[in-house]
Amino acid sequence: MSRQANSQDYDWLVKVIVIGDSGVGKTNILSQFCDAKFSITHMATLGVDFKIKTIDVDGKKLKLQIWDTAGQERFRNITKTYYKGAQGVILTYSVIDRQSFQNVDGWLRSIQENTNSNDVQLVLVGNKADMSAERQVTMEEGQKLSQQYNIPFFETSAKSNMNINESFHNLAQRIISTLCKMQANDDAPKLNLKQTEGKEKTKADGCC
Amino acid sequence: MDNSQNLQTLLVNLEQDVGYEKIRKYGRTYGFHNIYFRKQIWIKLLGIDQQLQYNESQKCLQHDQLLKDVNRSLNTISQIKNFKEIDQLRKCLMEVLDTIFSQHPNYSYYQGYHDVVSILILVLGVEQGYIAATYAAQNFFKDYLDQELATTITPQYLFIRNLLLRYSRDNSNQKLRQIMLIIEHPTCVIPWILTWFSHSLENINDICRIWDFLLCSKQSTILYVCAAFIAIHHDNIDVRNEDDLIGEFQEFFQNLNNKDRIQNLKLEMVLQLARTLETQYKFELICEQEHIQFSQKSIVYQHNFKSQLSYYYSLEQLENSIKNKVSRFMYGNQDIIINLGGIALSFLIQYCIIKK
Repeated sequence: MSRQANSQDYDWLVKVIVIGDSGVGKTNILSQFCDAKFSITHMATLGVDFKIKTIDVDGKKLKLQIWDTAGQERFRNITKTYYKGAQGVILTYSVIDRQSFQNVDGWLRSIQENTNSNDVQLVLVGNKADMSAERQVTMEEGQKLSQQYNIPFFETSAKSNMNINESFHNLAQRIISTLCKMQANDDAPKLNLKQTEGKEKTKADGCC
Repeated sequence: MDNSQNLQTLLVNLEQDVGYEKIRKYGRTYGFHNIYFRKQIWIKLLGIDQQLQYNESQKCLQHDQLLKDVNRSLNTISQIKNFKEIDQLRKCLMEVLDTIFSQHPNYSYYQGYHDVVSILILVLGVEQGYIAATYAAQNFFKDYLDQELATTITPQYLFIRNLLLRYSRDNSNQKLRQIMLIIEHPTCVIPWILTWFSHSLENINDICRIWDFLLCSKQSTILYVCAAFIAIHHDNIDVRNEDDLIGEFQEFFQNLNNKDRIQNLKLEMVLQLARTLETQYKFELICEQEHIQFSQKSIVYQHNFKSQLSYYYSLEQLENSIKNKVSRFMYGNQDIIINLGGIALSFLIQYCIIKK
């Protein structure tokens, strides 16, 4: 999926998925990041939704194709098909929903089972941090879990736009770094071959 | 006779449980116009033949998930903008859903079924809406409530893709064909199928028009409506950049209320095309030829679908009537017929000249 573009409006094209339990605020995180909008009227996501955003990271233009997935367990087998080819994952829980925090382990297992987890970059996000009166998960618990799995961690608020851009930029930087490493590990002819293969594979795979 | 008189006449027949064929034909062609008629006709079309006791029950096992979804529902319906009204409706919706799922613990709630129940409550009221939602769960939405979602949804969107590939090939529609060759998983149709468009549209009159059509049709008709929707609106999709096409396709169809992208839903054109597709591309034939398999228990197979079976048999008889067979033959062979007509006409002219 990752591709270095020639004479296009971006340098890299990458795929990111946003996952986590139902109702943790995935769609609002994405709306805030892509459209600077927050809405209390967002309906549940059925299946998947899609958004696109191009950002500048270290002087490079990175075009993010972001897939927002349904959180309900019943949609899991449908959304899993979108894991394939993802280079970045925003794994979200809600700080006012303890169960969503406890389910992070399950989501991580799901990433391991359905992606080439060595090449996938993750960010753990504890959303709804503005709702302090209803908080059920402390920041320390979030940090501890992220250290346990060695994943960067942000507490965010889609409502007040706290740490939303930071989370995506952190993810984007590490994706670029991984892509550059992969590029450096290959010699030039191999690199060309790999990129061509990548493009053809994307067409054949169709969805993701 | 105006529409209301027409419907009133049809309703009199329906009261005596006759005249289903006429009312279904009317529903597919024109729709039932307003809530007054829908209230009476939908109950019949859903196959409700008994009164169910509506007693508010305790919280069901899926209460927490229901609460999350109900609390963010109904506010996209353009006709309901009053917060107090939304609050009251949500309370009713929550009670109805809790009652359904505590009385039917074998059903597994899926996100989207709450949209289905919302429409039934809005049109039929709370008590009738509860009965209708229970019947809809037992018939029209049964697959999604008692089977694994991916198993039942995946063959449906594969069917839609194959249908559009055939339609675009037969009509030499290069753009649609190019799109559907690339979009192997048209997952944007998932909310359309699971909620009969009630999750995706904001105008209740548009939603109800689609429901009028679907309640008067076969179980597989929703797939033809989805395909027709894509076929009618695909022209506005930008296909210049193949890298972006999958995302562009998803983004275009995931929000049907975005007036910048879809200014006019062209609903009657969509339903007209759905009717044509249904006649030209048989469901069973495509499934067989493309090896698309549904669960043996699936209600897409008519023998598993219990509601209003008598009507379905009569619908089949209607489709197989000589008049319809002749018109289908003429439609399918119009080139040959036109050529033969031309030859006959030239013979006639020559004959007239010679005779003169």
